Amino acid sequence: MSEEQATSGRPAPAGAGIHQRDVLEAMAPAVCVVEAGGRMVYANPGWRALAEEIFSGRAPGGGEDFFAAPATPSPSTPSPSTPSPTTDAVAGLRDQVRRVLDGADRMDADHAFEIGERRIWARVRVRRMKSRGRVAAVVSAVDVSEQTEAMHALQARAHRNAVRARMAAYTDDMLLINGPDGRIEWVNESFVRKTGLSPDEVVGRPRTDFITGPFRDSEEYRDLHAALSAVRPALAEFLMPTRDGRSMWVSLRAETPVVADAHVVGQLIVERDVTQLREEESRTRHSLARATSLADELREQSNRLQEQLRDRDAQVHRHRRAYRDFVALASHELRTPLTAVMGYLEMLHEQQATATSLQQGFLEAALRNTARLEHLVDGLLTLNQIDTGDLTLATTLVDVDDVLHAVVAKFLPRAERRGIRIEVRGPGLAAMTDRRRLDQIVEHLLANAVKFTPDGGSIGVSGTVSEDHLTIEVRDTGCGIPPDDLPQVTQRFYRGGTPTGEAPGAGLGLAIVEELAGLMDGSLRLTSVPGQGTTATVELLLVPEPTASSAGPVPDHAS
Amino acid sequence: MSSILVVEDDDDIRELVIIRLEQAGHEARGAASGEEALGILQVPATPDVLVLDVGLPDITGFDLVPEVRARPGCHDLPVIFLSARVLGEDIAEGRRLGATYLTKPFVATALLQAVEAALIEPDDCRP
Repeated sequence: MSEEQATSGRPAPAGAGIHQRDVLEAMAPAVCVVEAGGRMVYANPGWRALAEEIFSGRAPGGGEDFFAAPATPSPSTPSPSTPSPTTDAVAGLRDQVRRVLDGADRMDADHAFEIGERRIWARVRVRRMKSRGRVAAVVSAVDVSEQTEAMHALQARAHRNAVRARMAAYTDDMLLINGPDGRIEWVNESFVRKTGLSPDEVVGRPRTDFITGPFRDSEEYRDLHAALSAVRPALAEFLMPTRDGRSMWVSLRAETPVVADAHVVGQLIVERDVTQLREEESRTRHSLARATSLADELREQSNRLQEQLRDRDAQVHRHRRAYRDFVALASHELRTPLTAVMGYLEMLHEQQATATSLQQGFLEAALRNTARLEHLVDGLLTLNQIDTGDLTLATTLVDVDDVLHAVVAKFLPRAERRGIRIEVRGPGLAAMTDRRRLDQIVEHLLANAVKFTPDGGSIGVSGTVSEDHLTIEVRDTGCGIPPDDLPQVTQRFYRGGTPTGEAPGAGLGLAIVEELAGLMDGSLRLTSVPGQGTTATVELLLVPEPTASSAGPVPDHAS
Repeated sequence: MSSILVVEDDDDIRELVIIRLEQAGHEARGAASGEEALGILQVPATPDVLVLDVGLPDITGFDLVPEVRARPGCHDLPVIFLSARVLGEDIAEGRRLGATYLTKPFVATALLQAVEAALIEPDDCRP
């Protein structure tokens, strides 16, 4: 389409001059006759004009040798060394004539001659004939420039259409070609498929005619329409209703127009269906908006929770403080009457001479139970201090033998009464540890051993100091702990049965020992064989060196 | 024979401590408050040892110690705390004041040992 317009509708180039027009007029047809041997015996005015142009005036006119004439290229030929169409054409023309003179009946060929800036296609026919008894070649030439160029254009178009078809097959983009008037000349398959518009209805109309919907009322539409009408490059994106009732987002790009010989021949428009892209974009935007609002909500919630947590924290802190204060107060308040009771009972007990054995028994029971009460108060306070993190260790150099003997001494009267033998084997070494806590540990372990060892049994208390550990072991020949109960015996208020007739404890002893051992970077290990006895082993990490603050006197404990 | 002042607001415990000290051959007097204790300390005959409760009705035992030590002749007076307060911080505070710290309930022998120690080497209790 544009090809034809670019070629057939083109007027003669202005620079060709009047001389060429004369040639053209004279050229239909140009005839000459060449005899065997090359002598040109006839040339009509057309041929003479042609020859003059082609052969630069020295062309064989009449009676000259057709072949001998120098084949000087036309002055318009850019360079003599490069073969111009004219040089080829002259050679071809001579060959044609020679063959006919040599015996061929006819030789037809088209030759391109350059005359000025124009290329002229000449269809040359050579026929064999006899003239005055001699063989001659009749040469006729007609100007077939228009036909030839039209044919070339058709070939080019066919080629281009093939390319387009291939392109169209490979692309999902909608392709349109607008003519110089800004109207559609061609659309590809994709355009037809996607818009539902047929080539027949769109060809010859402006692209913008087929954009309906709200976009039509916009400034952008008017801009696009103006650009396409003027065959100017343009970019646009719009929502376009399609034939099947859908709406298609189209991204349009109108390319720089194609110009040939200073004339606009057309413009390629590439359109892409970006509906899915836009939908995804919109979905993404939507999701993003939702995510953002969700994030805000979460942040708010998080802030609220943090606030609640802070409140709860403060509350827990208050409760813990209240609990700690309560236990400390209770422990303190219980201690005062306990001190009086224990003190007076102790005095009574010392005056054994005046008491009957029954009274002595009563006194001992009272003393025993006040001691239990004291232990309970101590145990509760200790656990409370551990729980609230208030229990601090006071490390000094402790004579471990002294601790073991002192604690055992407390239990000796009870043990002796029941025929239980207590054997003590100290390490004979001092160790850096907390005397008061070590005291508590040994006391709780020994209390348990005495409680669960039957009359006449034996208890072994030993202490060993290794490189950095102090190991306290309390071994009894008691009833043992059933395997199922073993994991639970260190739980608070867990109490095993006491088959020995001893008063049951509060169930805090082993819990305290385990907590204290943990606090002192150590551990409690229990091994037990039911019916044979239990061994409690406490391993405590020793503090490496005495520090200045712990170098004071060993704390004195009255209890 | 030495003279000991027992500052304790609980009548029964004060009496118990005094009996124990007297049994051991000491001369013991009692005071139920800080104010009463300071009143007793004004007379020329100052005691040899002060047995002091921490939780007194008018002043804590801890606060009483500097006041006592400010009295003429009481600068080196040995102090033995006898208290139901058993927390580490209380014991540490008592020791910081250069006193021996015993916790309630107490065993009589421990109290008497502390008194003996204070009488023999009073300077041992100073920081």
